[in-house]
Amino acid sequence: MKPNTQVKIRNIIMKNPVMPASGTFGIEMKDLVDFNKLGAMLPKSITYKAKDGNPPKRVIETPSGMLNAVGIQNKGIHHFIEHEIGEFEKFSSPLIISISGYSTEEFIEMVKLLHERKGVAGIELNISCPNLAVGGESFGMDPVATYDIVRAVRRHTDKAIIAKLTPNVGDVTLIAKAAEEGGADSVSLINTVTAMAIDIKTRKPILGNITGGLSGPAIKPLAVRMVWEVANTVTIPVIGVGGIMNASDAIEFIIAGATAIQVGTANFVNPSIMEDIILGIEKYMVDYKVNSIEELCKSIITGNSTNTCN
Amino acid sequence: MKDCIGTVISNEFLSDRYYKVRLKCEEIATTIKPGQFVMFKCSDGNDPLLRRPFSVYRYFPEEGEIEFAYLLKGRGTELMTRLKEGDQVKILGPLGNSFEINESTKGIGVLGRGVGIASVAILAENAAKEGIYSVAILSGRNKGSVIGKEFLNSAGCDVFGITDEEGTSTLENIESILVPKIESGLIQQLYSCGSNRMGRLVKELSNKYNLDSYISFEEHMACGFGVCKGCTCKTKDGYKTVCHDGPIFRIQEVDLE
Repeated sequence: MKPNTQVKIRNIIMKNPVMPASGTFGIEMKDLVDFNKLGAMLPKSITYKAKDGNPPKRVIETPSGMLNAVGIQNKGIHHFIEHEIGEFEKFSSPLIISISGYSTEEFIEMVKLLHERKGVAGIELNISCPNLAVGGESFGMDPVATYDIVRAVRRHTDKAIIAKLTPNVGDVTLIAKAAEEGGADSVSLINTVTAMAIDIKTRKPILGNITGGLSGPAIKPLAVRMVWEVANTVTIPVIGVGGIMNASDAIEFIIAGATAIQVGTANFVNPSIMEDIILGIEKYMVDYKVNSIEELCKSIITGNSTNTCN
Repeated sequence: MKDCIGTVISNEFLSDRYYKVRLKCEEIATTIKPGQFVMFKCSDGNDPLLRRPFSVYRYFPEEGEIEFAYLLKGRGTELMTRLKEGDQVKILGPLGNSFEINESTKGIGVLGRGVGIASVAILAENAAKEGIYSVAILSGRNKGSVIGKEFLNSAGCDVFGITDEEGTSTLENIESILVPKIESGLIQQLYSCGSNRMGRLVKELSNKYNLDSYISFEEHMACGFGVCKGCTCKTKDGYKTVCHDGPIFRIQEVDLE
């Protein structure tokens, strides 16, 4: 019998816990992966106004990972709603829209527009972007700013709100707690890790933006640790993301405390990988006699070991 | 676009740091067009992580076979040199747009530098075979890095191998080859790949003589199919993706600084 892989985030019923991470999934992939098989669809982050993105180079490979500084190149939310969103709404899987704003007002305006849209099941807040109103520190680096932004958008929609958390903070559990208290239905983590690379011949940074975000297998253990910490802190569902390349990686996140998972960089390497991960999770559940994702979630056995210095 | 399995027929050293791998892969060999590329998975593991883009060097639809010329440059291409007959590799393609020749065109000039030759050689070959006059200017740092001379010669192209070593790869020399052919009406279109310096000359000549010319870009890519927006070039209309909007652009549209 096929195991029950269904999970729920507020009112979004996902037939399995697998969805793409923002920035790694687009309509261009519709011939390579069956969108109807995914737990959810999550297109690239949208901003209020159109953005050109960062100067090249925007991506480079690093050991078992990649650095990117794309800068959310997109045509803005109005263009997205008029010309792009309909393409995703043709598929049956729930649609989650990732939005990124530079001010509270921008976030609110975008949430209002998406709230009106029947085909949108949920909204992921990319709060890793700088809040220009407070001098450029990102919302997601400060618990108060995180609480405020989530609370501000919460008033405008009853659709599921997911706060995407940045790992570039001292204690991610404080941010997760703030998002929960602000009214988030879920937190997803981790976003990319701020990083850089230098060309030793020219002594210049390789990325046009100087710094970028590290993703891929290189960051997976860091992500697993943070998901575990956050799952021990909040009561809302946690979405695990960071370097998931296969079903084993996905299962590791679920055991650590994730209700659902996002696949990012792996989509670039193997655009049909999400389907393989879904099948791999099902196989694991059969092999290990796991009846539901709920049963597997946070099933980590830590025994008596204490969490002290390494 | 499809993710396919290719079986290695041969993998040989060409010269200098250049190699050529030939794969059996019917789906791609029968659908790919000159100028298009594939994303090639060089290894199974996470190092290197991303696929590498390679333009089609030559294709043989009847045999269901396809060739990629590559330059030994880093870890990915180093692993590629180890491929043996019978090995299977994942290739995603065909990707990107392709070279087009206008119907009224009687002759073309094709300029390739280094591994950029691998992207444009097929265009020169096909044109010559179709009876279009085709000048191939193949530039490299030395004789070993000028690949494709033999098959372009036998296809009937007018081939010029030029090198830094011999001091023949200068823009003045390229100009002295092309200008008389343009002025006498032999050539109406130019195509370039592998050097921005050469691209700027092509742009200049195209402006001066009103030629409909194109450049093919080579860039580091993460996905290869337009999603990540990682491989961009600057155009008159802002940043465009090399993988999805290109890799071929009308030369007047792009910034070659």
